[in-house]
Amino acid sequence: MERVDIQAFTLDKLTVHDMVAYVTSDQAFLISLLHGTTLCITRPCLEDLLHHRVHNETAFILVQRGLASYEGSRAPIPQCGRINPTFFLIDLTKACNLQCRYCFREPEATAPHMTAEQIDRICDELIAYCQRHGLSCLSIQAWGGEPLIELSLIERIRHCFDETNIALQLTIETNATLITPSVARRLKNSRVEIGVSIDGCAAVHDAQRPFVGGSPSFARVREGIENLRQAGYTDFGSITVVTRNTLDHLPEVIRCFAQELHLPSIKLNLMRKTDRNRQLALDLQEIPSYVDNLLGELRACYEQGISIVEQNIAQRLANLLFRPCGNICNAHGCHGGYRMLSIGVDDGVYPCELSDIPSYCLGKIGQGDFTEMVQKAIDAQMEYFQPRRLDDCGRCPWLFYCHGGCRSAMQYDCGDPCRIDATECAFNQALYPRLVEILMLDPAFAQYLQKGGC
Amino acid sequence: MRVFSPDDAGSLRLSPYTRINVQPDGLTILQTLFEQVAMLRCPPAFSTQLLDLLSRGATEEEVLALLIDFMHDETPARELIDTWLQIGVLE
Ligand code: SF4
Ligand code: SF4
Repeated sequence: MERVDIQAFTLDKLTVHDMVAYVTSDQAFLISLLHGTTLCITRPCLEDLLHHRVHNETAFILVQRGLASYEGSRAPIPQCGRINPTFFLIDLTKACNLQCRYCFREPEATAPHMTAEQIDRICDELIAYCQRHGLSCLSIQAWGGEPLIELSLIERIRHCFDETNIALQLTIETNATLITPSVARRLKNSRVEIGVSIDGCAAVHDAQRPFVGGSPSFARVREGIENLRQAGYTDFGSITVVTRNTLDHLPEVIRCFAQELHLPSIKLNLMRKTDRNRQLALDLQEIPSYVDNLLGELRACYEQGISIVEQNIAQRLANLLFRPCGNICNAHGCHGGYRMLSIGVDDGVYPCELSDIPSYCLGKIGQGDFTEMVQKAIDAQMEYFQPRRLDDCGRCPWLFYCHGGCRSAMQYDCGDPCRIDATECAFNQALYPRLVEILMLDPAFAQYLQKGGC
Repeated sequence: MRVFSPDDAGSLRLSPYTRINVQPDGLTILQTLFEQVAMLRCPPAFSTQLLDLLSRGATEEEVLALLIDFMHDETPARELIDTWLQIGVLE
């Protein structure tokens, strides 16, 4: 697949915008650098475009897709620029019964946790916020530490919202080791949606996610998953941190998820570096072969008729197909603060769960409206909200979706959230072209990667 | 995935840049690139039939025939297709 750059040009009242084309023998996939919109065209149509010959029909669809504009036509609406947080993380506790090798959080001798009164106050504040802004639905993720250490607080959040007419999506990401049959039933009763943190087959998982005392946790996680199924959970997802250990065992990891644990939805996140875990992180040069191997494993599942969706791939395919703005981190760059806020054990409000450091505190619960807190921090030029330095991105076709990657990852890595996130960059540079190729040459596999099914 | 060529301009499809809402009393389509909204008062069964046809792709005549069948009048049916094309709901 060849990459061809198409520079902007004007023909009378038509302006064709800057784009990049990925070209096969008979098709070309166009990506607008300005708006992240795409269009697949035939090769003759591309040749016309390269020679600045544009049929009326082609001009019409280019304008419809935001790849061109005609005098007086509307420009695509930039996405997600509004401060409108609807996803809130509540940090119930700093305590955890595991001690993962890559954890961002420093183990604390006395781990603080929230109280029932505090949860009531936070929920009152969130309910008043919804009422002020006319929001009829809200998402809350209870997290920590291990959120199930504070199960009664999770139930309390549900209870607070049950007395309102706000539709609450309540989720947790848990290590699943505390999910007994009765915990699973209580979670189901409180309509809690679940993501299970699991790093793969026993060999990989136990090397990275031991209990605090050092003993392995995989068997307990599997039990927790089984208990969830018994309680009626069918479609929970899983979250995996990919390290160098994962690279060596990727086929077993995917087989474990697909065939042993029967997980319908998985999310494999590349480990981000902190000073405590650098030896576990993938080198940037290893990322392209990781992407190839992951796609290879998913193809094997597809060919064997096993339905499994890897969410980082599905999200990026969705970006290419219809530029949705649902994802906070990688549909249109980082939207911490704009679409998500995190509330800490200290009552502090932070732009996202990974940015809960004192200098990024936007205010405290009860000190004003959430949107005003964010606006004030932007006006005060808080470091987290400073523009990214994207000079090196040049004519990168993935700029609209990536926008430099995760600010917090860079904060942890080098103390500068405005620098380009090299891990995210390497992942996008490796994955997106492969996805474009799959979309053009094997749309049925592309559909599987996005939606599962066989 | 649709591969566009000027030669197939006669066939109509629903733009992928849309968000669809089928309600008991009608169909609402938001065109997400330009934030344009298209609405049609119709029962859910008709919404489904129309969306099905447009997702698969159909000739303008086929879409027109379905709309005329529902609206019992050619002029508003043609106007609807033209408007939906102009606002990028159909392409
Ligand atoms: S800082 Fe990172 S994790 Fe937080 S919202 Fe931004 S991209 Fe997401
Ligand atoms: S960080 Fe990398 S992938 Fe992201 S926009 Fe910049 S060059 Fe592209």
